[in-house]
Amino acid sequence: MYGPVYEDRQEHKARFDLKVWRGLWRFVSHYRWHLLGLVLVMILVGLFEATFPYLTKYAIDNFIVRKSLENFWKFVVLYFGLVVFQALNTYLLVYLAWKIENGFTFELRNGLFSKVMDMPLAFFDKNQTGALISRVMSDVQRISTIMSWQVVDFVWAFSTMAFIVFYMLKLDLKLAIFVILSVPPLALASNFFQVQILKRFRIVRKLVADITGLFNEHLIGAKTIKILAVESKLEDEFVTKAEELKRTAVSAAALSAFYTPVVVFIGNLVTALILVSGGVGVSEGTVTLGTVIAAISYSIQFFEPIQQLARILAEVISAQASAERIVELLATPIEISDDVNGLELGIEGDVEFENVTFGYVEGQEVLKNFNLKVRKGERLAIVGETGAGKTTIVSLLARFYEPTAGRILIDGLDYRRIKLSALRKQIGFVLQTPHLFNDTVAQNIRYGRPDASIDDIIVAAKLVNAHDFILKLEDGYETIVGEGGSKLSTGQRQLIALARIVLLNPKILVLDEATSSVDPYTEHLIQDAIYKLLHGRTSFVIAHRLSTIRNADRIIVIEHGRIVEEGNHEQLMKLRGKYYNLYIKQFVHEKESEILGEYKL
Amino acid sequence: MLPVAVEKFLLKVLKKYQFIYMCSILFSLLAVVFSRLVPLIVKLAVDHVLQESQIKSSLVRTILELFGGREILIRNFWLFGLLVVLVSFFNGLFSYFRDKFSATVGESVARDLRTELDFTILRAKLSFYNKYQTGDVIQRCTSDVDTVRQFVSQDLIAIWRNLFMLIFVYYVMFSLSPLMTGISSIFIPALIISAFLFYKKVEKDFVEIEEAEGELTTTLQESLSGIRVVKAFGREDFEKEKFFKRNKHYREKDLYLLKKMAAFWTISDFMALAQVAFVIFVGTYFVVKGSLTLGTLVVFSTYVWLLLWPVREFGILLSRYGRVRIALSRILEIVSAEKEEPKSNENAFSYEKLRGEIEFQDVWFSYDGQNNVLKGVSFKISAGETIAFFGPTGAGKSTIIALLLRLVKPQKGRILLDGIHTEKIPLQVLRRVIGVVPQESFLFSKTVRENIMIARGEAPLEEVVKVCEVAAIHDDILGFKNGYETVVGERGMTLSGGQRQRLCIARTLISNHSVIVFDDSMSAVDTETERRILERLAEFKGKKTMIIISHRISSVKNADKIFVIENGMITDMGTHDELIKRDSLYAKVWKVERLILEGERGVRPRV
Repeated sequence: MYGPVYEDRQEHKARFDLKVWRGLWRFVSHYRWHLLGLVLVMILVGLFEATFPYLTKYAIDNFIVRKSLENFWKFVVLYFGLVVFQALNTYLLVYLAWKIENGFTFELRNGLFSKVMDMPLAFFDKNQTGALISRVMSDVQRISTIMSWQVVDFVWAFSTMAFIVFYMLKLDLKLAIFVILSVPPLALASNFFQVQILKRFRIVRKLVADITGLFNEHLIGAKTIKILAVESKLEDEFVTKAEELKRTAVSAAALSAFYTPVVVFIGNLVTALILVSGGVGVSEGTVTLGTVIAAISYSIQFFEPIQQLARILAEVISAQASAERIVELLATPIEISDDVNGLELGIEGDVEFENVTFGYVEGQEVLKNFNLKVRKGERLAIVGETGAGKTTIVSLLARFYEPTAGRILIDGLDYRRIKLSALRKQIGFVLQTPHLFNDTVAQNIRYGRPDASIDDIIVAAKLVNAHDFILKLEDGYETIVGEGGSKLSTGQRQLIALARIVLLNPKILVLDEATSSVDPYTEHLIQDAIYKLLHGRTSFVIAHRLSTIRNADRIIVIEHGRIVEEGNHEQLMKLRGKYYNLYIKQFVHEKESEILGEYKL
Repeated sequence: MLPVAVEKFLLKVLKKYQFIYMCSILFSLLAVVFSRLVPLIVKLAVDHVLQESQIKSSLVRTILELFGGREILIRNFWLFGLLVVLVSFFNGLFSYFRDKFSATVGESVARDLRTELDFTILRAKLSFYNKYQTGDVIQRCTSDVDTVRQFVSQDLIAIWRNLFMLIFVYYVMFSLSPLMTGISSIFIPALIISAFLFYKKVEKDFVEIEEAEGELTTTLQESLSGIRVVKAFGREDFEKEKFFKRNKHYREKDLYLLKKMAAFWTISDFMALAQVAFVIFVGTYFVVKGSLTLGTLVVFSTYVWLLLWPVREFGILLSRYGRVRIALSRILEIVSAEKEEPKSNENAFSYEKLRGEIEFQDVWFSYDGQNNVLKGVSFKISAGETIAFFGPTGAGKSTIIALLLRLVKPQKGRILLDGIHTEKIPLQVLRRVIGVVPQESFLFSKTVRENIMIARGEAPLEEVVKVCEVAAIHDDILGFKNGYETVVGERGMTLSGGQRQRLCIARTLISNHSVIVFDDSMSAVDTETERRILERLAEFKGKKTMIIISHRISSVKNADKIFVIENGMITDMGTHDELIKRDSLYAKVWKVERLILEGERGVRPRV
């Protein structure tokens, strides 16, 4: 939700930039015939609209002034025919514009979503979910409107103006010149106003974003605010901002309110000139009455499209920021791409980190010349303080990120040569906070192997001790788990995440143990399930629990991206070093919760 | 909620601005009149000056005579031009004021709604925050307010404008030619009825489209928030398929409406154009037959458009009003939520005088009315004492603090501060006397310095530095990019859990509270740093009442008195030395800690 809000703080260009819009062409190109049709329809609409006053003039000069109804029925038929045509045009324009808007939205959203899904994890570290959602939803919507309805208005405005000028020139050169002369001052005024209005609305948007931020902060921090008794202070802050927003918004609105009268005034000035000059002409007999009346109604008609053009331009410029963000996203190279010629091989499970260097941010290396060799089937426990680089090691292994230098070898082969999908299918990843999708339990377990039967699922669930609690759920395996698994407890979510891995049956297993404690009974079930899972697989465990650590074949202690101690539990305890301290701390912690937990029950 | 409640609320919100709003309506009326004068002037010039028809209205005739009659005017035809310019100048002026005033009303109403919403958010009872989801409330505070704002500043005035326009146009038309007025209105009823019926009919479709869009957003959100799982299992294509399907569903819903919309617009455009054509045909016929003047025809051919436009707009306005009602009722629901203590007479109490003696008398409490969290808790803390509450998570330790601060109300029992029933002490005073470092360390999106000073207003930097030193965070702050001016919180620099907790400690220490409570507020601080902080805090012994809540022995063992809480009851109390001698929960935990901290090779891992 906050993505777009913050982005609006940036300053964007106030000029039209064709390059940005060209980047979106391939999504409209499906609809190029629709678009062409739409342009033609709108030209016709403009032509017809400009023709109606001309017909009125014809009626005045031929019937009224002559006081004769000769051929009147022909006129009626012609006029009515135009009415029918114009109504048909309305149908076509709505149909075409809507089709384009709808199709463009559809294509662009699909394209954007595919792109986002293909992005490496690093991308999601930098882009918040909220920002991405607004990119795919509201930014796309905005652009689609421009590509369809604004095109309608634009072509309409242009063709109406062109035809009006055409008819006026045909009617009377002198009267036409008045209208034509009004264009430059109008264009200047419009440009001035639109740029100014745009500027103010940007400030308004920034203030709206600030206010949304305050609402959010006051909601999330409600308890702290009450405890600190700072309600009045925060309220004053809020009132100041709200007042500032009101003031700015009113001044922006006032500027808009000023713009329309200016255009109308210039328009009426032209009308007045035509009236006077035409009137004099009529009394001198140089112009017909019908011409004057038609010229007046043209001059009134002429100024609506001008206002439209100014509005469209402003709209396009202000939507340009959205377009830029979309084009930028579409053009971002996918850093970790699947090699089409990648090997689709089954792996054994030997892993080697060879002089691996990596950092999330350039210049800040988390791992430097890191070396590690893990044999097939070995159980490796990784321990260390938060931020030491444990998670980085396993993220690199799953190729969520790639080393900036050095290589990672699987079965002696640079893992970049293995097809990404094949690699991921053989590396099981159990995250600290397992994410479940808002779907049924069965679907969640099936996630890594879509073709798994319900029997397979039950076998997997039984293996990880999840079957019993699943049966107790409202609809058993068909229970919807809620957003992010919210209807289940943390422990239950972990068990389902483990069942998911069982079905995947990977050769290498990565386990980021949860630090948050669950109730002792579930804890026991989880430990048991993990024990079974680790069996016979190469495993990397970021371990927090003593039992997991002790059961490892080898333990490495990581500090600042380096291995500082290495060995099995007994060897490391004897060292009385980092591992010893970490272990003691954890031991106290577990014991405490054990005792307190017993009493809680 | 009663249907009228929404209208009442709208009127209440508007009431403050009735004067400006009336002005806006007045200018709207004037603007309508002046904008419609231009065709009339043209008519006058064409009919009576350029042509020689009789003037029916005696008023207009008098005015014309005043200027010297037709002969003079035809020689000074520029006067008409001047008149057009003047009229249009006033028209512009009036419409400017109309728009400016209505925007002022709209923005002011929006400001009031926002302020009132924020007032509620800041002062609602604690249960409010559990009842509503953050996203939902934000939605109401932003897009619902915006819907109301747009309606008030644009649509509400448009209703009047359209109404005036219709009245004016009908008046002029009728006075010129009642017959032609009838002819100009033949299609109007059909237009109104079709617009009304149409918007009624598609209301459901709009809701369905919105729902489909909502589902699409949810799908998107799910895939994005589960991206790690998606990547780990290599299921990008599966997620794409899911999204494509939803996207297609949305597209189809949208296209379904397209056909109806296109048909409606076509019919309505056709009726409007046919109406214009009809006026021209009949009018021309009448003029030729001599029963209508040319000028009148010209007026009618322009005015028929002015008739059609408001009529078509009414349909749109009607459908928008439905949306505004929903938005208003959603806002109303929030602002009518119960507040903690809307107005407190803070000045009646001088909080400096409260020393910090706390007493609980048989306090019972339950969040849901069924499961008691506290079951008859009684204790007394003298001013200046340092005491601790020790016990497992969920035993009710934090609830004691919530009760003390009156965040929640006990079902039974009394809580006294310096012998005064806390219910009699204004909230603001109570919470300034008792400073709590809460469990969750929330920081505001402000600088470090502003965060620390937030409850104090102004404080010299030396004082800020001093409390930061006590809280052992000063050195960390100096390491930040902009030191004390570094912005933290959601939009600022990310801090570690321990750093956040220590900042919160400093934030509480800077206010001169008589009572300070540490509600498990050092859980993310490492033991060594915690020891340092506790040592510094010992300076306050005897000067301030201090309450430490923890399940770590190291945090509580130096307290004057330790209350052991289990299952909502105080099961044990005494000093550290007394407690470890008894066979109790406290002693058990202590043994484990001692075993490890002192026991050399004493660790014999159990498998």
